[in-house]
Amino acid sequence: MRPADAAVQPFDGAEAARLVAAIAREGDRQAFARLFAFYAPRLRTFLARQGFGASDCDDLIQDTMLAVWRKAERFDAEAGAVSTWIFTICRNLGIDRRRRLGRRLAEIEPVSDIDPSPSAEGEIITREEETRVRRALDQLPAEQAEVITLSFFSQSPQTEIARALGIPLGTVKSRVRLAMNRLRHLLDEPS
Amino acid sequence: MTVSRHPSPELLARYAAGSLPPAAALVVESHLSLCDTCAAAHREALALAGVLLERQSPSELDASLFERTLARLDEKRPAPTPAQARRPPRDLGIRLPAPIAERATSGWRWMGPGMAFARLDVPEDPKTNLVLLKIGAGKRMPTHGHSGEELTLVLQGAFEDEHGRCAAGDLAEEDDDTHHTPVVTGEETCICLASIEGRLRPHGLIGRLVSPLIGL
Repeated sequence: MRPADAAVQPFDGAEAARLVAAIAREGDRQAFARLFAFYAPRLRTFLARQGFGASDCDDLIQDTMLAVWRKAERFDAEAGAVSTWIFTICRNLGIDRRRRLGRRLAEIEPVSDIDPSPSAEGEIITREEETRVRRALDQLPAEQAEVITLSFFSQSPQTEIARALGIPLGTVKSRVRLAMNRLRHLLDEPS
Repeated sequence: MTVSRHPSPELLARYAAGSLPPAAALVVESHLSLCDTCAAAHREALALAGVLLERQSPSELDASLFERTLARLDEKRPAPTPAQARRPPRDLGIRLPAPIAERATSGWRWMGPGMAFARLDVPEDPKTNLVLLKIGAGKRMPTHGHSGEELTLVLQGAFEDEHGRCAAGDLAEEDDDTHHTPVVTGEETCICLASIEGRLRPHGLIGRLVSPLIGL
């Protein structure tokens, strides 16, 4: 079996939820292939921006998609937000991996009181909320959307924002505030 | 609890993305457990991160990654690991927020007249100190600058610094361009949770005397 066409266009949230539901209902591998084709290459970009090396990226993508397969039954296909759910799974696995790396660097035995279980994975976010966020981001000027992306996903947001926008480091904070406030405003607007 | 100082949107963004160092993440998580507004903002930040994920330009994957993942779909699921018996943490005489309640601590250590600290064990983040500070009413904390980021969450009592009052539930963010001189206000002893990245650079005499004691 091949992953669905890698050039697959972003599908809408409802379609993504149908694919997750098909996995839950009948272990549909075609549905899994479509989700993989869309999310795996984007998870790769996200993880690389977070500073993970190639083999960590591959492991984390596999583990994330495997969790999607296994937890599909618990996903609320009526209301659930697929992108938020998949992102949260990957984020938590990444945090867990970083913790383990840190402990290894310190050469300290793992202690028993660290909770390895990721918290509830985005269950509280509804597809409606995700759609509202998508709409707000669409309305944001491209440069501000870039500032937001770098604030979230960059390892050193300040430096990268300064470079991307060609502005002095000292003015980055106010640009970030501006972009965040604008987004806040768009999110709060009644649709 | 009425919270008036919240984490900045930038800090919440890094927390949502999962890129905050573990000790700092524990301070933010502790704040979220006390502040409904920020807990809601965090959920929204996760939705935002999900949508940003959709918009990342796709990277090329190793050609075999899909096959390898597919091959693992039928693997037996790992049995859930049984919860390990936990040693009850030392009682510090204060109710700690859930995210740090189970951490091993050093217990209170004397740091100066009316001042004590307790170190929390964060083996996964060897570069950051996570400490509880207990400062008596009216005491001035050592003036200090930072060589890294410092997050302070007030658990009890209040202090005041250049940015205003910081009371129970409030979170103060300091980075390397700030110098601050917090003073404990009110009748109550102030207890804070602080993650301190890098070394403190105390300016005052007390600070210079105290910092070797607490090993910061």
